[in-house]
Amino acid sequence: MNRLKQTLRYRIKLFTLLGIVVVLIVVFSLASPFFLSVTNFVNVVVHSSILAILAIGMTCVIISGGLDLSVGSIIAFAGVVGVLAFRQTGSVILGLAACVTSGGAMGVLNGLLIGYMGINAFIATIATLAVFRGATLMITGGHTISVTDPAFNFLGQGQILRIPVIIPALAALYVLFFFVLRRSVLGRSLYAIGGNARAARVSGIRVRLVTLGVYVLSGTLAGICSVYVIGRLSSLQPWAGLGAEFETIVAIVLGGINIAGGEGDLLESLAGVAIIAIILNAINLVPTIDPFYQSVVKGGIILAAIAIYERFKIATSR
Amino acid sequence: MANHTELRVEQISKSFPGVRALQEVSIGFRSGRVHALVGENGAGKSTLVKIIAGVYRRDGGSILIDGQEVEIHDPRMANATGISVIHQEFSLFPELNVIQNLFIGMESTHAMGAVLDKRSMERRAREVLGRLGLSVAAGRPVKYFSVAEQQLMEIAKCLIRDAWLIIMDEPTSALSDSEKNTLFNIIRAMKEQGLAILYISHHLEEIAEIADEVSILRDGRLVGTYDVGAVSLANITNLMVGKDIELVFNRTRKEPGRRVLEVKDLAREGSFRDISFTLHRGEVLGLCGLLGFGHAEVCEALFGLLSPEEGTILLDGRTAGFTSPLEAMKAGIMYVPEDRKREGLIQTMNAEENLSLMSLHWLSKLGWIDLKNQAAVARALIDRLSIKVTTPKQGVDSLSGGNQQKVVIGKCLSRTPRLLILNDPTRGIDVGAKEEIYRIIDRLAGEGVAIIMISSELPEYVGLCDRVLVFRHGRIIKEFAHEAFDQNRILAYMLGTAEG
Repeated sequence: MNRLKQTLRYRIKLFTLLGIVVVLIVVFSLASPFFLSVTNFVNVVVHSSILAILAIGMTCVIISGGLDLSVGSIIAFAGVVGVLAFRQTGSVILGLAACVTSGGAMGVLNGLLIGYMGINAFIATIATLAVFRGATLMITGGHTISVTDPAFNFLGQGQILRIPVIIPALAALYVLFFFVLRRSVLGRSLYAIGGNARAARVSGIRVRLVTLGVYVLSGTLAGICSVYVIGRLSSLQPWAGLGAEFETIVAIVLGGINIAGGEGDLLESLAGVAIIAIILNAINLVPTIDPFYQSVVKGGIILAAIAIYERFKIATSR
Repeated sequence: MANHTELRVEQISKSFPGVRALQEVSIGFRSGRVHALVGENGAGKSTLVKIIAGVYRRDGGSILIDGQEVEIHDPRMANATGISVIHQEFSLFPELNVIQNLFIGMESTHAMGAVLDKRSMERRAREVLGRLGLSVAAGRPVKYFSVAEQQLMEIAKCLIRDAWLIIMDEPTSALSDSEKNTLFNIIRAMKEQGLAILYISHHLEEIAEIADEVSILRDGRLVGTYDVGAVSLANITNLMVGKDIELVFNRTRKEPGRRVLEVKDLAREGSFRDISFTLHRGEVLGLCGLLGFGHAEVCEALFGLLSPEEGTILLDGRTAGFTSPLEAMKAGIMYVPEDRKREGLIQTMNAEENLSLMSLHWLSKLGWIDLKNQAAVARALIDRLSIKVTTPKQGVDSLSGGNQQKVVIGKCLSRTPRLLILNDPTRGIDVGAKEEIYRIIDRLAGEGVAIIMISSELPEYVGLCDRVLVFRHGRIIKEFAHEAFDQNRILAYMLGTAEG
């Protein structure tokens, strides 16, 4: 469409999202005295970090026209590999590296199935979701594995200058990937493939290789997430990451990323993550909202967001 | 069936942000007449049609049927008023059968809608199809039928809905000559029965043959409505574009330079075999043949989209068997694909991003794109090819067909290619833009680029090519040098009716 109209729409969308965040903050700080404090703010960020990290990978995958439903299971299995590697070798570095790279390796599997064998992303990643989770349960026997080494748990528990390490780490990741999407050849290729994969191929983009790459990226980020999750709980839970992919997609769609691919940026995803994080935090904090309503709230948000966006699109295109 | 006599649009205006698509257009469509609508891409034809069909809401003016003003809020209302549209890309459901397609949305039922009345639908379908001369297995899914047969089914759909005004958008683009004649006979029969036909086409010779009157749009305004007998093709073109256009292009012929490409015994099972030819700098080689005869596949093989199983390709003397488009591009080969919507453009991106898509490798350092360089390259291409954009950041999906095609061609020229392959570069483009593309091809050849082209119009081969290779069933059966060009002979070889 006319780029003038597109930029205007983008600005309206981002402005609206920002407005929602502000309104939520105001409403919840009135509803609960605990809401508006530095401690709570740090709390919000720390608890939503899993979502935030996964949102980066999921945004890239969705922009390229794909979907990765296996990230929750990758968190679990990468954690198993990492923790076992740490235990066997006694080396923190090896353990951490194993965690992150096994996430990437699982991404390779996804990427080969989807990029090279042409299997539908939804189907392929639902299958790997089951396979990776099953492998986790098999190896752990359903038991928790505890990890007490503070070096291993640094990402989850450590602090730099009284700020949880994860916060600057997240900031760095977001800045890096914002520019990767906007200005790198890889980023441009993702948008091209999501926009029109055939035309991307005819224009010389190595579609299969880039597709493989984006799933490796998603898996690697899930591996990093795994390190964080283990650090938070000083242990690897066999059910770690359960449902994370659903939450991530809700957040991204809320932020306005088009699930069909080809458009969107990290700011939109971040806005969506922020809104979900604040709402979930409020549900736990504000006494009148029952925490068991969480699932209902999340599902309702995705429906409402999609409905509003579709009406918005129709209204501005006639 | 024919329950109206005239649909008139009066002073219709429609604007989109940044564009005035229609300005005070007034045209009358009468029953029993074929009214043609012509204009360059972007002139406002499809906007006008969409307003009549209820897809867009008009900003100003009114629509009158038999003198009474009507409001057409949506396509359903348009249908109810007797207006039916047959789009260029048909709106049939490939997996459903003929009867299901004909009655979609208005199925006959028993028991207040619970059970389909298949028998009466089948009877009515056969009746209408019979009138159109189409006797087919109505129970087969529509995807098994030819394009021409599908088009007749689209017409049957309109008749079943008691359409009075049928709008046809580029109806002949996928038809053979004999199928076109069948269609025209049917249109004439519908005219006799009092239907009104709104006929949109870029093929002006057809309009001369089938239309009674023609309305010409230019830049959103009506230039005029004329009786077809009273105005010549040259006049129409002139009025469409606002200047004189040569109807037949003649390239400036020069001596070709040194050999650039040599293809020897190229073969691929099921597509082509024994393909051998050479190409020189500054030479334009035409590959022609009917659909599926292998010439398009040879082009794809040269660009690395397909792998030949046998044979060699030599580029400037060096063996070049490309396994991917990127390798071909690095060697200086560029390919303009046949279907710009499906293979040429990324619709979610803007003009600048599309133009730079094939030169990302060269516009970037260590994987990071130099955005200033990208903008400069895009600007240069926009100027060089006269691409009409309000800004380089305009989304390509809002460009006219001709400008979209220029973007696709421009994308391939971001680095001067050694070999440029053009697969039907002027498909679906109006006369004015076509001429501009011919000039571009002429200029490129003059600069020493070797060009291979495929076209869906014989006059283009004659006007642009130095040599023509005729393909039949995957093999080259005849080579023509331009002194020996003769449209009829080329066609005869393509159809297999020539001797020798």
